[in-house]
Amino acid sequence: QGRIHQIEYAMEAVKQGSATVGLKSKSHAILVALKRASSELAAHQKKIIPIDDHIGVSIAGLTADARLLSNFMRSECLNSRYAYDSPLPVSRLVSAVGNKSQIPTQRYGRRPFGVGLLVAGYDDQGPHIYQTCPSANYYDCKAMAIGARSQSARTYVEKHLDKFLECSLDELIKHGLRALRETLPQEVELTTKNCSLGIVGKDMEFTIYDDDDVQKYLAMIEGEERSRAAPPADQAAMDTQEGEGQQPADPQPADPAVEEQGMEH
Amino acid sequence: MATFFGEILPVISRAVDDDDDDESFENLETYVKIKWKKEAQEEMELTKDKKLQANAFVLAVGPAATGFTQTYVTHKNYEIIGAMFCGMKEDDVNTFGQMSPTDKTCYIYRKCDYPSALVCECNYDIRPEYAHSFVNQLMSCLNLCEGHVVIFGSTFTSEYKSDVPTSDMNPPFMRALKTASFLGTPMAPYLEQPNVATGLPAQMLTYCHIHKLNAVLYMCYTDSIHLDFATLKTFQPLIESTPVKYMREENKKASETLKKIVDLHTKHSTLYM
Repeated sequence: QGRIHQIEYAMEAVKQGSATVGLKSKSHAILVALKRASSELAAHQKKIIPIDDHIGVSIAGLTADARLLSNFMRSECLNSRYAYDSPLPVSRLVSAVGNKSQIPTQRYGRRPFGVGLLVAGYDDQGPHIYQTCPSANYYDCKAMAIGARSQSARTYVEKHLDKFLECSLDELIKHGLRALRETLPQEVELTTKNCSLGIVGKDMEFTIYDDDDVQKYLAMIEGEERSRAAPPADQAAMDTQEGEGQQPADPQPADPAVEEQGMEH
Repeated sequence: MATFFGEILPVISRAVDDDDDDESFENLETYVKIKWKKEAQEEMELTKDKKLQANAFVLAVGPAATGFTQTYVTHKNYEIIGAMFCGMKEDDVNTFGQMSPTDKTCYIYRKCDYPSALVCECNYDIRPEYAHSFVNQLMSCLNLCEGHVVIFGSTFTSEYKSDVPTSDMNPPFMRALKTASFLGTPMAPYLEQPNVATGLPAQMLTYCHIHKLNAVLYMCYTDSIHLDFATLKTFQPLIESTPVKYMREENKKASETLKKIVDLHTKHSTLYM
């Protein structure tokens, strides 16, 4: 069929990582990430990684591949500072990552990197959010979410897209946290334990907020009513209860009449 | 064997001795062991056919299904009356309380105030070659003639074949299969062709079909390799299925129990962040 399955499998690996959202305004770019519960015996694994003073990434997918890519990005940034005495423009860094990611998709004995990155950076051109993919594609985004159940976050962000440019930093962070919250089931809330925040801006070096440092921002959206958060499957189920279409994703009791039609397919 | 470059490689023969086959067949039947509690065994001795009377039987296979039954059914008012042991090795972690995701026991629970309601929670993968022995040994101790059987299982959407791309199907989603004797309508759409149910859930359903028992199999297709809330919640409407609706125990702390179960399975996986 002309599909290269190894690349598609690698992209599925990104969906196994927990969700992360990137947004930008006129002056700042932020990353918010959901951390998975980890063992109490080990230190927390980092979801948002600083690359340089003006760039940070958040990862979704295979941890080890992410480590490799972020080390590569750090050395590219350092080389640029050494050679040209100026920070590496974000678009150049991302295209270097793209070129590096393409090699294992075409070389014998290697596999694509199983990690997606959201890159937040600030340079002469302003704030940037980029998304990189195991397929070696990269995208310049106004806002983006990747990882498990990230579709809900993307839906939120699409709805409020026109507000972000003029947002203050606090408002932008509130939007980011709300978008991240959309990926959580009703029973689970954002807490200082499961949430990480990274901010970079015009007069602000890339800074990561973890654990207690996030509390001040979580407090800003505390008590806000969450959207109905009905995942698309439930919506479809509600529709078919009236006996309309043949939605295969229906988890509700199936109408016997509709069942019969299904059997004949 | 000489290769293209001229080096000589040793050739391994794939011819198999007939004797080897017989040995492995023997092992299959003895690999699964069922042990009943003394009281349960005494009860079985007292009946005509040496079997436990059961009107309702739930088999939960896999972490999602057992998470569901642990939260909404067996969390209180149930006692363990038996266990099945299948392939435990020296280095397996066993807490005997289903507290570790690597627990390799299947417990058989009975409702304290409704002794003919039984639940078997099987938290790990029983290999297909042992499924036959598992089901036979279990069901030969139960008399389910007038009863209802329901089987819960889960598998990955990558196993699901359809012309609609899986991402458009909004996983996780539920599918059902039933025996001919079951005259009602399952609470989920039927599993479409060319998909097949496999493994222990399929073995149990086949047994029920052959022995003319009322049985329904509910299979949850999930896209997450870790147990997550969405998968557990896909089972939730099935609280109203027969016979679960007669066996359930209300759990006011359901959310917390679900959270604990999800955490138990996520903490141990550090591969994907």
